[in-house]
Amino acid sequence: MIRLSEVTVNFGPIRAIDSVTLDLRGGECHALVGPNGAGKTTLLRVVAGLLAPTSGQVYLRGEPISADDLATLRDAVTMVFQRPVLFGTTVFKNVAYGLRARGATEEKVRHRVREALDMLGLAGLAERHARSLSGGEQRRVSIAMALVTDPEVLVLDEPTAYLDRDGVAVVEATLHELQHERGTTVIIASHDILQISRLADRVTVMSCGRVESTLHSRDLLISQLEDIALRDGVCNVFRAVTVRDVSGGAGLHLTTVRLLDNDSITLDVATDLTGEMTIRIPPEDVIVSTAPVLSSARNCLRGRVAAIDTDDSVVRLTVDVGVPLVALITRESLDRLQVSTGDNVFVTFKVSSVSVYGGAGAHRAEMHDQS
Amino acid sequence: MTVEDEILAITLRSLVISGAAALVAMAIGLPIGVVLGLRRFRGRDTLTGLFRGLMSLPTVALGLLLYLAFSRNGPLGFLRLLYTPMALIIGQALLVLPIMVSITTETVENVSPSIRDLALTLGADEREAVFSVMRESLGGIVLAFSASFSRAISELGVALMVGGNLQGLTRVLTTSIALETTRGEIVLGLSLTVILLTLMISFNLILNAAERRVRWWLWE
Amino acid sequence: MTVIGSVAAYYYLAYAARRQVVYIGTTTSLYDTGLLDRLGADYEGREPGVTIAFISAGTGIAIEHAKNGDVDALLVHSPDLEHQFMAEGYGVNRKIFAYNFFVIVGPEEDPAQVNGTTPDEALQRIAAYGQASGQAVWVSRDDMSGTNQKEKALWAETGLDYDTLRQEPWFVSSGSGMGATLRVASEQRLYTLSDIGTFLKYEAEGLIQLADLVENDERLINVYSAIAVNRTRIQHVNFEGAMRFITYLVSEEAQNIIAEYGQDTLGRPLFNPAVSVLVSGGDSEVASWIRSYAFFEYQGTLYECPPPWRVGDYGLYS
Repeated sequence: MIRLSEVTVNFGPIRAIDSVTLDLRGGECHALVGPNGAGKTTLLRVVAGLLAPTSGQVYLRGEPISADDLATLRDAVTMVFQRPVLFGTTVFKNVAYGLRARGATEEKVRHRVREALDMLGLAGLAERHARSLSGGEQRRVSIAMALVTDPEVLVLDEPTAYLDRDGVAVVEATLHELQHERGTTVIIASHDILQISRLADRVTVMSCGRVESTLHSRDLLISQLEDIALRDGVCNVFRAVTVRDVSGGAGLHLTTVRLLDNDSITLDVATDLTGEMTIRIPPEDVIVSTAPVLSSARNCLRGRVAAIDTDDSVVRLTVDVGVPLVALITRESLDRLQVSTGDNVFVTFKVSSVSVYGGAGAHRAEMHDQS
Repeated sequence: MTVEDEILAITLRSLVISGAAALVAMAIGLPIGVVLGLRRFRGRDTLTGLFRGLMSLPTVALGLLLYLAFSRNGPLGFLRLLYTPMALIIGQALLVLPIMVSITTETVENVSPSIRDLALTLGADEREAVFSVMRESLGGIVLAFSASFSRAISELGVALMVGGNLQGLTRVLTTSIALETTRGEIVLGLSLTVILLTLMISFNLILNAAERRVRWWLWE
Repeated sequence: MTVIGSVAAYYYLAYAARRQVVYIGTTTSLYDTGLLDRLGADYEGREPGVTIAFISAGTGIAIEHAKNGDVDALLVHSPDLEHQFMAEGYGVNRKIFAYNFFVIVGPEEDPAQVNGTTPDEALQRIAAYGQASGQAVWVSRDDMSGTNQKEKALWAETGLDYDTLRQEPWFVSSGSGMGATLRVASEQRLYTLSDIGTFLKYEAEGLIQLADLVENDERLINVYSAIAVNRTRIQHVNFEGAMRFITYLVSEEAQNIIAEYGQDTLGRPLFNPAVSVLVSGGDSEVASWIRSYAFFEYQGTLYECPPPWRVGDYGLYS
């Protein structure tokens, strides 16, 4: 669909993208992953026809696109920006913008805008002023603005950053529907490698403006998880396997899992999966204390402070509980705790805050029941 | 002419002269500000810095320069503009031009990259994208106009030096306030001050309402 | 709104352009009394289509305006500067049209004991008191205005040097206009020299609390003259317009307005018409004061305006 051949982009003395060659296939969901500053956004802007490469060539359906002809590329590709940008008018007029720019009839505009708003769960907000909406609603509006014109290629820069769980679910469902029912090619930049594992067919890993690798399967992705996680600052990601199903039955239930990295550690999680799985403990949800906190809905582990990294007001506390577990706490909390490296502490986190993702070897609970 | 007639005439004159000055400044400053906000070119930063610096030009300093230029022995003396309302309009327009340009530049610069990209990616052509940027900059442009008018109508230096505070010709609210104060007519000076304040506040209220109407109209 | 504004501006400017404008440079202390607005309005009533535009500034700036050709005539009160201006060829047809007296005003308690003395005596007592007390006693406008020129002359007559006095701690420089200086004097309990018009006005408005301590002395005489800007030196001045207004100023009608101005609002006139004093007999005490103070010598004779500096025949000099 779109092919980049040795594309380089310089911003003055800074090289944002360094000789990237990439093939984006029609109908696939292709993810870009990598740390901040890896060049993901710049690459997306090149793909969307908003930025001409300093050197290299972009092809659309095999045809080379010249710097003067970015409009042709823009006709096929629509981009959703990382920070939602909206016009200062109603939600309806925002979403209608792309259709009206293309000269659609008012009847078609009404129909398609309603459709897009319904798809993103914004039906009741059509006449609200767009900038009066919450951050999550604005992000959904910006996605609706892009998909209403039914572009061949939809480019999304961190589409679920800072969304709540429901928002993430709506957006992910929308992207899934676009790709599978309309055949839209979806290109997505994300920090969230676990989200990518849910959505993407292929993943391109970027670092310092270069493509490191393009991966084809989820297994390959998962094998890279730890590596990427370290580089990306994503932490507290572990492979685990079910030990005991506490409540049983279908749907979410309390399950005890054992970490593969250190099988002396068991945790309670809420999931509908059994077998092998990937879990993530959000560092901001981890509470550090000097005395144990006992609660049935919480996991409490004993460990030793391995490292304290201070960054302005946030402190990154690494606790060795058998595996390294990172907690993000405020500086005030650290001052209150009065702990230093080597001290014994307890880490506590709610069962409900542990994210669980499937992978090879995971089964839905009902399938497990049947087998 | 009664005192009331005189005050009314002075008020209207202030409105007409400073309104015309703000409109002239907008006619010249808006395109400059839009270009400076949209485009990147060599010398652009110098220009924006220059306009920002000139925002704080003391009114008497500009008045002096213009007096020397418009004086009958000065380079523009042949125009015979000194001590005419036209000189006052030109002087105030020059005075507020940097405000008009700087606020417009700042607004367009803030709005431009993101709104322009948004418009382009949604299928607008370059012309429509610039129009969209302007539409989103409306608030800032209105602010620029309002700040320009407010500075024009409330300045004294230029009005005194190139207007001359001529009764019936170039006597405006600020020069009257200054004159009546030196004459010891404090009450009259105070009433003129109240008029000036009322005028500026109602002008800005009207402008705000107008902005909403224009915004609505631009989206229809 | 744009359209309405433009149309209004157009008609306004068109209206302004149709009228013939005579620009008169004048001093603030004279203009601030309001006399000139009264005279201008009366004159405009007699000469439809003519606007008299007064540019009010300090005497020094007013003379600069005239030298630049930005005004057509001057109404000023500083004989030395006037003589210099005319000697340089910028001004012609000088005519004295009014006079009054400066006053030395100060705190009612009068710590330097100057009440009822002569200006000479008063200034010497003030200087002595200031030098003895070391506190602020006198405030000067120090702005090259006509009043300031008069002050310098008065100090010189007492044998004291203004520029030396300025450096002394009891001598305050306000650097601002008469009204502002009077307020400083009132607030800080200082003495100062004022024109009678501004003083009476501020006193009547209750803006100052100062006593009128020394007045009506030959030394304090304040003489106002009109000078037309010389059209052979400065082209494009409205010489005829200027001369018609000067002729009006010395007419009986204008002289009567001058004689009565201030009577109704301040209880006493601010100015005395000069024409009758100088013409009818011309041997009164005041006439001799004016002659010695404000006349210019030419070939051994004193003239209001020496013959070489007279242009055309407007019936001003008899």
